[in-house]
Amino acid sequence: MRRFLFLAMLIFSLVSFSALTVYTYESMGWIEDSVISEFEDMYSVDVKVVKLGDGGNVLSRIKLEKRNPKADVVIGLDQSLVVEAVKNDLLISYKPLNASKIENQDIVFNQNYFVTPYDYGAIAIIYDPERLDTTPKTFEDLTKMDKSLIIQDPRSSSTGQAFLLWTIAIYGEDWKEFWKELKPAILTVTTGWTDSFSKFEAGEAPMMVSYATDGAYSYEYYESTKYKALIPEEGGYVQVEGAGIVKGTKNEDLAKRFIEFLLMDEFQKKVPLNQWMFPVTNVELPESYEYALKPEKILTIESEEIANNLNKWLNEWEELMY
Amino acid sequence: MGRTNVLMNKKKIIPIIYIALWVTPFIFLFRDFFELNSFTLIMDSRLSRILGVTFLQSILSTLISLAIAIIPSYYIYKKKNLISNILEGSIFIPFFFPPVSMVLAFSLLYSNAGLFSKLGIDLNILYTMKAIVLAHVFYNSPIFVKYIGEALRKIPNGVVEASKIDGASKVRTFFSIEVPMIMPSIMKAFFLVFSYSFMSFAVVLNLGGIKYSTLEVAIANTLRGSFDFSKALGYALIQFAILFVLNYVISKIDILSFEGDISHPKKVSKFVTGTSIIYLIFEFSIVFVGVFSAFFNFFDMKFDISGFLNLFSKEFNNKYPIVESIFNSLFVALIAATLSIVFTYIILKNYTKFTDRVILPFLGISSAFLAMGLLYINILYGIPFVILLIIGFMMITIPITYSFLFQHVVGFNKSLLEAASIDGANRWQSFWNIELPLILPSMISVFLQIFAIIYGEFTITYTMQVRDFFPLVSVVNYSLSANRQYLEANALSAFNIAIIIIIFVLSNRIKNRFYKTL
Repeated sequence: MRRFLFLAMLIFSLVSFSALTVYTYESMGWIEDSVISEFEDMYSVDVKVVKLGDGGNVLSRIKLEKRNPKADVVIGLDQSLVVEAVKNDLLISYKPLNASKIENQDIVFNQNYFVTPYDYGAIAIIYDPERLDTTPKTFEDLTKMDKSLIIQDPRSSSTGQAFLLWTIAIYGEDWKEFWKELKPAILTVTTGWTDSFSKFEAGEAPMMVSYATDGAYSYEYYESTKYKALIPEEGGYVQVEGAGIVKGTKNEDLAKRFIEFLLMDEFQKKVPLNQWMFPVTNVELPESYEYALKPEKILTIESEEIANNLNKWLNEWEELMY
Repeated sequence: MGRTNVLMNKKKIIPIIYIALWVTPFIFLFRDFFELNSFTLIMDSRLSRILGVTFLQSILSTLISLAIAIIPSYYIYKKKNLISNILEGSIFIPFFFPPVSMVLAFSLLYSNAGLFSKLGIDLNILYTMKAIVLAHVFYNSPIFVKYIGEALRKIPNGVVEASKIDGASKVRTFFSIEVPMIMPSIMKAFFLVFSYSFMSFAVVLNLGGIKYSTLEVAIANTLRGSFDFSKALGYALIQFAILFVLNYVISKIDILSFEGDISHPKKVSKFVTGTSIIYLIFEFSIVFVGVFSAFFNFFDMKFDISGFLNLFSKEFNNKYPIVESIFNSLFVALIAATLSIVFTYIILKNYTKFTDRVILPFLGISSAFLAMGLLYINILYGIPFVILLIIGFMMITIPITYSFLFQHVVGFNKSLLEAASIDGANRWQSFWNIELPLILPSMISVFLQIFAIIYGEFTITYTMQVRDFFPLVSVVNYSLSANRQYLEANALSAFNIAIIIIIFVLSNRIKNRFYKTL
């Protein structure tokens, strides 16, 4: 496999010097500083990284550009966003030559490889221990808190959507009953993670929906774990992010090489401390990741089920929350 | 008769061009993404619920803003001093003060971890209808203060004196004589405030929460969440239709012009002064907290200026194009504000009732939707972002420029122009030698205000996602927050607010100096 990959790299570097356009979301901008130059050197090409708000904005842009695609590769589509992208015929199916490097094949959530996963992380509840008398252990415990939790709107935020899917994975058809009980515990619903975090940091509520790696972030930057993360006993829900090739790209070969690059060590080892997610290949994790939670039990929902029901679930959630 | 009709038709051409400019970006979106099925699906129970909340919060916000603005307006009418200048200056708040800073300030003041809570005053109003209304009153009451204050100043003193001679008290004179005389201005302000509250996005989303979603929030969620352009278009059309009808009704009311001595007695009661000062404290405490948070951490109660220091460093600018975005924003604001003033002047010189009915309702069109249309034009035809941004900013500011310039152009003393014409001056000479010198200070003042609005505009810039193509300051500020650079984001907000305050002070000085020389 390595030989194939090397050959592909060699042939490509001899025949092409085009530029590659990559669309991603705002907080993935670190790839420009830390890692893109390695790909540029590898293939003697220029890479233009375009940052477009959040994951929803990225999908919205490639949907708008369907008639006249300008991007070659799109990074940052999770399980739910991919459903909409595939439904709209926006991506090309491509299994990278080094796909076997993915350590746990269970996280390949799109078996047709319209996207290739490059990182994953569990959704978690983060909390400020100084402002909580008792730490909840289960989802049922969460419902007993009063106006203590900040969540994200699943219609506009991928984190919010992952949280909704998490509860559906746990409660199945009874998820709406759970949300009725959870409602009094919610202080507010924000459009995205950033708004939630600034409200949480301002002390408006002691808990928010976030990621299980927040403990590692806190340790790395503040050398303390001021905020802690918890994954309720019912099990964890993993958000997997993937990258895909945009249908209509004029740089298909180069785009394929880029997808493969995302699975190389050069990229994967940068994921933990920049993206604050787990890498999908077997690279060494930094010390701070001792404070990142990995769920003991992983809950999932089949992509097909998400594809068939997501709009219905979102409408039902909206009805419930009004 | 025939000649009059031709003239009237000619006068309609410019507003029609304006309509065409608005419609064009939507045509392409409509052509490629419209589905009748989604469009009809909007007529469900959700729509009536959203409409109910939108109307309720808009009416409450507008009425309370009006009530709270009456006394400060009366103060402006009677006094010309530092307090009245600051009261008039508060007009910058609705048009520029960034929602992000306002939300931060509200949180620092009114949340359950905020300053009031720490002082033992448990207001706990965040994420309720009260918070939405209070924020709209903060944002929009300066519009009433400006409109009512300026209109009152133009009432001839003789009318007021006559009422007093007839034995009417000050309060009775105010409500029975002065208020009816300025009713058209109140109605225009009412429409502006109602429209802004009706279309409110950031306030409703951040301080109200999902229970209080408005039509504008529904449009944004549909564009961002389900990517259903037909459905979003349906919501946008309903919003436009409501504001169009409201404006049509208001445009039936004629603006009154008065003649006579307008120098008024300068005495006000202590109650009026005290209430005006309390109003100022309410308005500027939020501005102050928003700005001060750039270099003071309210939670740790410590000064921290590292955000400011980083902001202009070369290293930081390599990652976030702060300086480039400031220059770009200044450039775009300069061109778009100039075009907006010129275009609006031409519209107002050809003023008819039709113009009123066409221009003002465009305040009610969703900026996010316009931006999506402009972005789609860039995708299809590769028209550079800088041109599309200038067009977009011009389009959204023309109704505001129209309302700011209205009195200065339409109310211009036409006898001066007639006299010049009798003396043999042609139209250009009359404009250049008589009209322009007299309205130039007002134009410069309005230009600076429009410039400030464009400089800080967020919705179009954010929706078009121009960060990596033509960075503008508001969207770079957003990316600072998104990347957890909170100190730098607050510092940049404070820097922008400082620029805007300077511009507004400058614009007021130009205007005041002009009035002094008259």
